[in-house]
Amino acid sequence: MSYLSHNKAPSKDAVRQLCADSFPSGAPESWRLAESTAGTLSVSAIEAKELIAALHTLSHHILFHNLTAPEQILVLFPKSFHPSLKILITKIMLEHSPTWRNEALSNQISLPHLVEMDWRVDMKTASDSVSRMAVPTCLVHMKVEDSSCLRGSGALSSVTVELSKETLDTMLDGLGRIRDQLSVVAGK
Amino acid sequence: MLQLQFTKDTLPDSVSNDFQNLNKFNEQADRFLHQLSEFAGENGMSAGPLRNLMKSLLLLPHGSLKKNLTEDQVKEDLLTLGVSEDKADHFSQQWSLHYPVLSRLAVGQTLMVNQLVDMEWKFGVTVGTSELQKVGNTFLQLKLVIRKGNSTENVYMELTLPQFYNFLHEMERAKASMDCFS
Repeated sequence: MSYLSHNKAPSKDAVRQLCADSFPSGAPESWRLAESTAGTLSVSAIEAKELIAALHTLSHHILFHNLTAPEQILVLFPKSFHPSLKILITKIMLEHSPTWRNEALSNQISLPHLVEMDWRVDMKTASDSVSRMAVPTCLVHMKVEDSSCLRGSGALSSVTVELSKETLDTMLDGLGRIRDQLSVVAGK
Repeated sequence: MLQLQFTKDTLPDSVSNDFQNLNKFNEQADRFLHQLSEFAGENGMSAGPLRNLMKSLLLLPHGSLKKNLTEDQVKEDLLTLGVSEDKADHFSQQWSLHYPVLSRLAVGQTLMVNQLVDMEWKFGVTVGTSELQKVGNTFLQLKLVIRKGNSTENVYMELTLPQFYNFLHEMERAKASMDCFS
């Protein structure tokens, strides 16, 4: 990190960009990023890589411990660090924190997410065992994110389910119980 | 009932009731056949011809159920087929008695595609992740058990709270729509 303080003219935007670029999980290993950073800052690729790794560790540390006050972040820097650069980096980190936090939340591991859902109610009027009847039935179609793909890659799998009236009633019973429990938890 | 060749005894009520169970073929075919064999034994006849007799006899209730026949129509058919008056009477009375159950069973056998068999759920709070030490998000996980042909398939999914409330709302609307029809 001291490399940054030794550099005379990285512009504020360059620093900002660097902080953003070093956040993603693949950043410390990316040679491409290291090389482009080396070019921007006029340092060697190895030094750039170390810089990126340091920024990466810093941003993730801030995110993990949910540091929100500038003082909490300023103490992380070594004493000899360039003061205004320290403040600049802190400011950038704090600016990005909410976005990064949301990103981490949406990327966390989970079961496949429900993306979309629609339903229709049909009336069965005949079948091979009964030639005349009037039985309502419900079809529910759910689009679920495919768990084998990367989040946000758009691969969805689809499932259509048929429910009789009794099944739907039972399901609503269960969902109602969930709602009641949720309001108990929320009330605490 | 058609006059039996081997005996002049009137058929006991238990046999009439057996007819009413015809729609439960899958689970109770064995039991039905067993009862037939018992009956054959009691009345001194062999099971084989009795089974064939039953096969033809069962055509009547099966067709009547399919066409939603009334008690009188069933009685009329029986008389046309040559069944004696009192037996036809007895059968058609049993018919009207058991008709609701039978028709419900027939409807229950109607084709259902990807029928939802069971739903399990759990909800909880995410306490922390590898990226964020302290989190406090509520999640809901659903497991739907779906019948596909002869086997079942499990579908797992996770919903956020807003999604759950939306899901619940939509299902209530579906139920309201179904209630309009019944």
